[in-house]
Amino acid sequence: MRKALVAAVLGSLLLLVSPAPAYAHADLVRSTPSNGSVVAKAPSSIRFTFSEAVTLDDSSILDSAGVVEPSRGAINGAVLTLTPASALRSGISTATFTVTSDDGHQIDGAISFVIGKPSTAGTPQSVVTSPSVATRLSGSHPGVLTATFANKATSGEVVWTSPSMTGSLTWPVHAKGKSSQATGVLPFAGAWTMKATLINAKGALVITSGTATLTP
Amino acid sequence: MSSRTIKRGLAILAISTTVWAFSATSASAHSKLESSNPVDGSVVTEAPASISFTFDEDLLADADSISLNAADGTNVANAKVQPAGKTVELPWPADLPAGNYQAAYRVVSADGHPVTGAISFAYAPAGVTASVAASAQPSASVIAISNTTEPESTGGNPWLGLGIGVLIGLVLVVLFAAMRRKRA
Repeated sequence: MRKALVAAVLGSLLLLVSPAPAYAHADLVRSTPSNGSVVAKAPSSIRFTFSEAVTLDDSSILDSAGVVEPSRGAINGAVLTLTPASALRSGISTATFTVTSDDGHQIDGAISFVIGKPSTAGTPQSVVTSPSVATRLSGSHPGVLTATFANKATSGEVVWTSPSMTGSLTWPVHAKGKSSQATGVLPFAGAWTMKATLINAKGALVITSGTATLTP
Repeated sequence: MSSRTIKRGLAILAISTTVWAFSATSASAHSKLESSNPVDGSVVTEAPASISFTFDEDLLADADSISLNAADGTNVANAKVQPAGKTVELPWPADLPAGNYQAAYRVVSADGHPVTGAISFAYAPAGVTASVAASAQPSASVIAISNTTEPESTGGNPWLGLGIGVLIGLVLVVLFAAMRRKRA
């Protein structure tokens, strides 16, 4: 009798801990430091806040050469904290994550930020895109850069990916006169693939892709 | 542990594993594009009635739109569209000149997340094929015929749920064994 009771209690507990059906995926809400920011002092840790509790699959911190720095990732509910083994150096840091939300959906992402003084951007370059939207990137060196599109977009996003990095860097698009712009940090040299989704005030969207190459 | 305890433990393990196997399935992902007309990367010789996108699940009727863009990035047509189940469509614009086009969509998944993507196609109606090739549109040839659909990350790991189920089962076996020992 007692055994049956215990079994019933344990069985109910089991049902409680099994995952509740969730219909929304986790999204990155914000990070500290924020993506594309310039901070005066190296942060002791990097925090990502998601829209709901997640489990950690993978995380990493990359230095300004794109090389992995030893770090530890810890999840507390919807917050992921990445702590580097040793203090981050001045320059550009990138943090990447892969997490899974309650509904089993896996998302990945990355942020980049500059510690100390941003370096010079170098010579602006035009980016060949398809469909061809005239696109100009404000520099040729890693750092804070601005992409300008000859498209009267009022919203959208620019997503940058690199073969040497998991996750992608997302820059929000905003109107700038008769064109549109997005600003953020491209963290290291090499080829970067850009996918820009440009949406104008009437809701018309164009998705254009291209590649920019950065030199150290 | 007596064989009865072990049997009971195994039964609980089986049940808990089953519970997990059913509950921990990776549920709703964002709507994924299943097919389109025109097909991505195709050459259209006869104008269809509309440009359509069909997804793997019903869409929300919430600011869904389709845009048709020329190779030079200019918007040719754009409309808010009302989904019919899994499908949204934009009427084929009358007098559309031959050329390379991108059809881009922005739809809202059943889970409320906006999904954007695009397909590319060449429009070469019979009789004007030659003029397409000869047209002063050098960018036409460099149009990447690629699927720019949002990359959909892979679902979660169902084995994780299974593993946790097995683990809970094992804990229960040990618990029951301990209880029996205490009574004996």
